[in-house]
Amino acid sequence: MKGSIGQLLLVVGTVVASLAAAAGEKPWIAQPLGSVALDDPATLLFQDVTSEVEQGAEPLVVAEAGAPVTGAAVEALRAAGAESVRVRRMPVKSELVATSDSEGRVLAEPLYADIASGAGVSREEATSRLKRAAELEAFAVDFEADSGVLPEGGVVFGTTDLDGVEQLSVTTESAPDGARVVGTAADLAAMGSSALVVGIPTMRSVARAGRFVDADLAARLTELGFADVSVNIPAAPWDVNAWGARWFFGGGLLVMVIGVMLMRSARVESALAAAQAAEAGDEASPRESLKVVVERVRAMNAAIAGLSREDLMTSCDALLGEQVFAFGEAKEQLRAELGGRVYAQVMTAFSTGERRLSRAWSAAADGYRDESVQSLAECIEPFETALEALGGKPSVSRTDSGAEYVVWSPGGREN
Amino acid sequence: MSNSEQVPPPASPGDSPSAIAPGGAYRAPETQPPGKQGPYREVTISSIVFGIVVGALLNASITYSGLKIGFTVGGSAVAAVLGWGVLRGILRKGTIVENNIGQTIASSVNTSNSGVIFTVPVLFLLGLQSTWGWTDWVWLAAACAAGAILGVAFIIPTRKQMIELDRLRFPTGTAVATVLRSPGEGIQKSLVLVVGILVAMVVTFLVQVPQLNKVFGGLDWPTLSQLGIPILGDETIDLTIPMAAALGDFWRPELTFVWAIAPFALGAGFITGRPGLVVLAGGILAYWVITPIAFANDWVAFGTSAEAAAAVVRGAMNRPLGIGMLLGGALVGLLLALPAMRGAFSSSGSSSKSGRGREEMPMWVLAIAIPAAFAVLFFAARSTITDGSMGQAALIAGMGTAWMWFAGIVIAQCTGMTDWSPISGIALVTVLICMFLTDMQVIPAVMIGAAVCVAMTLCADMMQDLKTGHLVGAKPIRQQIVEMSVVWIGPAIALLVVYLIAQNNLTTVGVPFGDGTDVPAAQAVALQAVIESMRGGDAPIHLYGMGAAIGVVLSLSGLGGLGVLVGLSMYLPLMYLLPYGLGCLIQMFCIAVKGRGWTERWGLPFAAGLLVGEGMVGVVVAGVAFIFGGAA
Repeated sequence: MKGSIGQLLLVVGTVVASLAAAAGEKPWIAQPLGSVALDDPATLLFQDVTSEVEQGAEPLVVAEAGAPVTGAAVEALRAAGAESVRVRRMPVKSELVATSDSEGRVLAEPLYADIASGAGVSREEATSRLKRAAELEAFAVDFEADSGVLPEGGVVFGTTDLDGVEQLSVTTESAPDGARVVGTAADLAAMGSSALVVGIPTMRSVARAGRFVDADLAARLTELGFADVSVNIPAAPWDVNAWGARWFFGGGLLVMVIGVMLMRSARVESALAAAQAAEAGDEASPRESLKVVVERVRAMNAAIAGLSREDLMTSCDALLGEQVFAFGEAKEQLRAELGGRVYAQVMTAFSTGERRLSRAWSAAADGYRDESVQSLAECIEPFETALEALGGKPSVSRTDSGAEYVVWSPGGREN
Repeated sequence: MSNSEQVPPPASPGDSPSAIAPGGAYRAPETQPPGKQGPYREVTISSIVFGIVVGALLNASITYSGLKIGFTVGGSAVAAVLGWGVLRGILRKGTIVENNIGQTIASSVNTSNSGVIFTVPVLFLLGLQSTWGWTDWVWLAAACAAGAILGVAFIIPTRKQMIELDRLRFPTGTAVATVLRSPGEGIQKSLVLVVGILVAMVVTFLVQVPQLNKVFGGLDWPTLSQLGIPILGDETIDLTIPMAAALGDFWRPELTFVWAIAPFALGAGFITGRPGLVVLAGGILAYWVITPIAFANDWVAFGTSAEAAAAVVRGAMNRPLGIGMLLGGALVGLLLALPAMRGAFSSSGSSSKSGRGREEMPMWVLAIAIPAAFAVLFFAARSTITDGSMGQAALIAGMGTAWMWFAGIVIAQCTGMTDWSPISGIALVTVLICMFLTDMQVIPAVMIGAAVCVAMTLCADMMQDLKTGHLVGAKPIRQQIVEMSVVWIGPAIALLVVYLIAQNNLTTVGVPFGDGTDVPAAQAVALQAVIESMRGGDAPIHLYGMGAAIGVVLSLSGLGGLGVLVGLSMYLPLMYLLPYGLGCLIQMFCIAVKGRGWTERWGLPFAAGLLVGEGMVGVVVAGVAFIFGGAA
């Protein structure tokens, strides 16, 4: 019960803390309607503000996202019952700076150079050419879809090779070989389904958005004639006081800690109860499994001369798959019961025995009997060491007929 | 129970009837044939040559394909299968442990490629190689080689913690052991393994058809998405629409229910079993709790569509939080394990030796490797930091050395628990730390970052190999010695391939990687974007910190590696977590219905086959891309 409550608390605390951490990344701040600055270019709306009045099927947009907060927007929000307005945490994410001052900043937009002249293309011109390219690309894609004609041998649409396409080169099946007609999208439409479409790039990329401007790049941009460039504004240093969900985060962590304490306490109690139950003989204990391992390894060694290759493999396999495996699976119970240091002593020795037993199997499978026999003999000592550390000291005796048996004495747990 | 008791030699139903006489005693001794003579073949010239040749071939092909398709595949399973063919089939003398040495060497020569290709191409992408002389390349190679050797050396103490004390499953290590043991396991078990391999190969081949079509240019084989089954994509099964229809108003449009067609994830989940369910739970937290709540409360940019919400929230919130959890969880796990580690080493004196000598690598090797690696990193940093002081070079070398250990443990732990290694995420944090220490200088940061990445990939690989070795009875010291002897080869090959591809692209198309070439180097491009945003003053360090705090508390729970597991699941795409979780559930179902013995005996070989089969097809496709890549 205690363990289940602990697990539940751990889960709840993890969810709450994770959500609180994520909430710290929200890109807006809520400002009370009464105190928000109106028409301030530094206080921009995070999202559209709509009126309850509908315009067609959609509500009427009173103020668009990214615009300064207006009185109309505040009124619309009040009418909707809101008490605050969401404004952008970072009003703008980029700014224009002189190219000579751009070193150490990150480009907010891609920069292009004209292929023909080699000169840098201004933002407005680049935007215009890209828009035109996008239109032509869209047209060509539609054209291809309608006509079933592939732009074979031409530039593949949708790649950066299309930057700044401003015209189309068109050829028809009826034209003389190699003849091309330079035209517009309208010309292309008029030529029907026999046309092949080829885009002609007019710009090449100089630097992509997100590129860090080092001294070399800044010098190159200046050389290309860029007077200014658009760069990112670094995010303001993270402010814990602006993180509204910080108390939820702290609370979540606290709930997790309580859950952890309950779980650890429950685990120790459970391990001790399991140990007591095993001592009372109510259920099989790891100690019993290890005892059987030691006894059987000893027995196998005693009878080794009579064990065939298949016998060795089968016996090792059975031990590895049953008692050795079962003991290994009880690691959490053992760790809680014994404490870290004794657990380590037990498991280190046990694992060595386990590995040597596996080697005995492998060598038998490969037909190396001597190696298998020797590895099997070498299993005894580490398994006994593990058992001794676990709490039972074995000593070997013999019956009158010469058969070996093991006598156990108790051991103890780490205090 | 009395203070002492007498126990006669037992018998159990598991014993061979021929080994046990009626009445429970072993039968009377009789002479048995001696078997093969001579020492048991383990470290041999054949296995070393085989491992190096196969590892080098795998490394070159996987480096190339990794740059091309963005991820790498491990070579252990493939080397193990090839090992049987070459060492046992052709040379007629391979043993299980000899084949294990072969696969250990092959995978150690191969594995370092992911550490190189996630980092080094950044130098080319930023155009920094134009200022480099050959000595810089030598320092880079030396730093990576030092990282490789130190990565293996750090495993000496880590092996005890993860294999002997925590007893992590290492699904690939377990799968490779199943392959190695298969000739002795009997025909039926081997048949189950082969069926698993074949199923995975067929499925993975179908998933790889688009890649093959791309490599071979004119090839136009039908892909899975062209089969006309609405839910079937080229690499995924999209059950979002059926799920939405079934749940009605309870379903939200920003949720997805897409499954990767990934046999390895299913197999790894099966081998991991119940503990792996935490990974699924973490994925549900990230994608079905945080994502819809973040979207519904406008914690994402205005205008973000419901379909894009999962990707946006993952990039902005879940991934940094997950990386923080990984680091915090691993740190506490490490601190909690220290007493046990001390106990393990104080008690390992006798168990590390048998009558035939030492079985464990002694700790003094680590004591030599650490200062040696520090010295190499120091001189590498000193030669590349502009206007840097000796103290700064020492600081970055010291941090690099310490971080190799810690990052190696993080990666090895993730691999041990789930088979996934978050190399790119840790590489990102590594480069971030290095950049802070070098006043935002990229070259030394990437150089040390590359060395750390190579170290941590080798930590994970070595742990997988040692787990395999543990299961087949190999002596750890022999694996560690051969791996330490050849591990430097891997970074050299990977660096050479990266250099040749970049130079070829620079000559022919003017850019080394990325747009305009047929080698996108996606991971390096992503790292480049992060580096550039950091240089511009933008990094989610506070989210790493919050994640670390959550990871710390989760790991304090005492449930093995809980912080690491939850962090890893928030970091990974959900589509891989779903088949992994299904694998866990199938294993639990099998145990409940058929018992643990049946599940281990029949389920494990099949699951191992799924891992091996996917790996084999991945390597073949990588080789094909390497040979015929120019046709793309």
